Amino acid sequence: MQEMEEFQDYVYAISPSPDFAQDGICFVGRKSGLFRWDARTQEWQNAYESLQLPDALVTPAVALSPTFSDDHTLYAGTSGGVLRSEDGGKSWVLGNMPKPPPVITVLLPSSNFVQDGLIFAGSMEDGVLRSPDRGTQWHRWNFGLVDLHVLSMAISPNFARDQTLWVGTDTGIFRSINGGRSWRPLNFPSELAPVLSLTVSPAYPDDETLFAGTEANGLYVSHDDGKSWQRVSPELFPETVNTILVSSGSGGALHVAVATDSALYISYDAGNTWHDLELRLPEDEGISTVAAPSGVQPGAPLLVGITNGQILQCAIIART
Amino acid sequence: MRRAPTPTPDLRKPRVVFNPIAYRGFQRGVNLIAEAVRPTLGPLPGKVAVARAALSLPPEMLDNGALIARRIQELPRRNEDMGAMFLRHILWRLQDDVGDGTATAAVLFQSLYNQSLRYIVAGGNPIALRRAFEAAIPLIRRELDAMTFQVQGAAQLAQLAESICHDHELATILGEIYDIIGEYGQLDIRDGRRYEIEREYVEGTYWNSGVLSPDMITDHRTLRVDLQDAAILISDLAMKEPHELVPVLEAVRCAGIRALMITVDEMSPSVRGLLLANRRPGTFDLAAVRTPDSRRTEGRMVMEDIAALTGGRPLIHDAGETLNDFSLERLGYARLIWADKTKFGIIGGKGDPKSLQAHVNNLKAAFARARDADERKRLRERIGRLLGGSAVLWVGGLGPSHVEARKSLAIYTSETLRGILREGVVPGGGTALLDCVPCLRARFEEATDADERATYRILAKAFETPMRTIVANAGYDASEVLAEVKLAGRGHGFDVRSGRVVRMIEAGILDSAAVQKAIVTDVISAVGLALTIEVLVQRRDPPVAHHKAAGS
Repeated sequence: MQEMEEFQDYVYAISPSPDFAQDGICFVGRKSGLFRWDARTQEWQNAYESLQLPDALVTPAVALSPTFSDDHTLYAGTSGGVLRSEDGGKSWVLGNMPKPPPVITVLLPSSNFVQDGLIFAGSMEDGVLRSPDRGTQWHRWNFGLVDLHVLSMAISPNFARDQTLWVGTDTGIFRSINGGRSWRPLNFPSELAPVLSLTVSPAYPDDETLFAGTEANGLYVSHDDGKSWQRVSPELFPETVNTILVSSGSGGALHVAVATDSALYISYDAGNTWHDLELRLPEDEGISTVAAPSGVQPGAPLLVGITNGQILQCAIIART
Repeated sequence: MRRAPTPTPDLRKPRVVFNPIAYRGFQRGVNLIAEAVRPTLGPLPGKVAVARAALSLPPEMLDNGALIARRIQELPRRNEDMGAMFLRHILWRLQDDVGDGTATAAVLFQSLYNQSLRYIVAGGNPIALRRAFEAAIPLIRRELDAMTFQVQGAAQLAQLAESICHDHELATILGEIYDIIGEYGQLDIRDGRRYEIEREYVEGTYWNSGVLSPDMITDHRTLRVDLQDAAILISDLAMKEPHELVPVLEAVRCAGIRALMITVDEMSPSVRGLLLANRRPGTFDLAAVRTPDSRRTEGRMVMEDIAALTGGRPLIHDAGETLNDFSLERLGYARLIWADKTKFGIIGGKGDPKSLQAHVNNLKAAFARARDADERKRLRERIGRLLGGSAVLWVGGLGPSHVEARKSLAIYTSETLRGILREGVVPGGGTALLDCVPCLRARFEEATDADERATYRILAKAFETPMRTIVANAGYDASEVLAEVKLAGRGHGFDVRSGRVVRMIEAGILDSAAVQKAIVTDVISAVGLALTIEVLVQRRDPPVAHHKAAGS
């Protein structure tokens, strides 16, 4: 396990380049701002340097274009709107946001971003914002979204066809089937919310599987498109589930990585059995977020954000 | 000797007509309305030309059953008039409730009524027939439920809308709008400014009630006042004395609140002056609006809704509350509260989402229970407002009369789309009713009572009528086509555009389940009732007010 850097702040979001294995670039949204790590130089850089900010700009969300290696486009969700950079973080433009300025909590480009240029932002008090033009104009689209405190988002891998995405909020999960323009509540019990993390199976059009991680009530899975939910391994996930990552493994098996406050578990069989990654966390600190640049595959790297601002890099253990 | 006074007839004196004359006249009226509406049934409707009041104007060309029936306001023969007005009222109510299905209802009513009358004249018992008809309604509704499925997506909704309004542009936009705003969403349909149809989505919610003074408008470009991250004092109080409001403003300012909107029933010029004098743009923004519908019962409901959205607690005049009862806990909050001269709105209310959801669920339950059309409309508007958005449809056209006609189309198509979103769809083109026939025939076979058997026989035959009419209106031989459809089996119907027997769901030919169920319920109950009419009591000189109320 390699300790990459230490900052006395909080890691909100990690967004590795789609070509992380080659370019080694990853952006980290933190309480102290947005930072860029370049594997070639092994250096961390303040991505907001060009802005010459007098104070740290809290950056709870960061997202990279799926073709980042070519277009060098990335987005930073801040407490005041969404910043867009088209040169890998050297310069920034603030998207045209509705007033009052929203606090962005999560950013999610469409899974068909190259064609449709759609990007979604979840916010603390303003629900969902949607940009149809790669982050230039932003509009709130909250028809039916009774709870405007958006904590997590997930998008269908088949978005180009089904136009489906989900948001996890303080009181439950809402789904849109028209590209984020209107929302309906899913049958997720409100007493289990807030929903901190949401993930969709890569084979969602066939298996209709969704995972939801809650703040205080563990991990849930639905195999029927959100109509019913079952709790997953309550002994491992008694309370907070911060991050859920899923990938398709060999033979179509669903690989799942789940981060709680204090541990990281991997499953190679859709959550039936789990392996503890046994991370050595700093004393009194926990996991805030996790990213898997090459997917949840045996031996692939994991980037683990720690509540004190550290980033740990480790490899996923092999299948046993 | 004095001559005896000449007797003058009292036109208000009732005339009493007994059977069989009553039946015959009533039946002629029913048939007249049904035949006037019949050509409009189906995707290739015939037009009905209706003369205008001003004879110099060209006649109206209508293909909407309810509108045609509505234009027939009085028949010269009073017995016929009663039958015609009876059916007219049913069609009109159906249109109001579900927005469509009037032509189907008319031909179904006609078939059921005529067959039943023949049976009664031959010795059938009208009361037993009525009972059997009413007993059949749940059976038919269950059959329709079994065929019902949900639609989603703008494209499917647009296709359904086009089958109702036969206006591609209008249907496409209504499909998109209802895909977004959903069954309860608020849609304002207004006169367009150009030939085209335009739409606009309005964020948050708004009410028709503007600022109390134009001086409160701070943005002179948009002519409105925007209060960001604002508090709202919800009340229906009359604020007359400035000194009553001073402690409120002080408490709000001390709490660090930078913007406050006040809703009131009334505010005296001196209190308005106090607000304007204490306003500090950017640091302490103040504005006031009249509480929407504050002097009616609805005003209380509006306050409840604002409270649910913003987390506030209203100060209610009727509860004996005054500004002395104010505390900071009673304030609601929102990301943005805006007002202009005629409206005020809330975006991003900061009320508790769970309470808001519970409030919405209560309103939805009340909506499901409500039978009165006005109450349902009021509840639907309230739910739509709370769900966080609305749409405006600007209906353009070639001239005022074209705009009016398109607006009317938009209104009833909207109503049907809401029903579709709420209750789903069934195979269209008369197929759903035709597919109820086997279960009616099965009941006919099981029944032992003569009147009951007659009822199911009559129903089975009548339920073929809508498809027969659609086919005949499109110029095909109805008997031949129906034989083909029956041979093809359940779920099949006739696509009059392609001239082929198809599976209606696969062909996308669908009808609103809500409309079909409403037709079945309303028409069968009404026929049952009409069959029990033994006597007609007529006013020779119908009261004008009553006449207008029913006809305009």
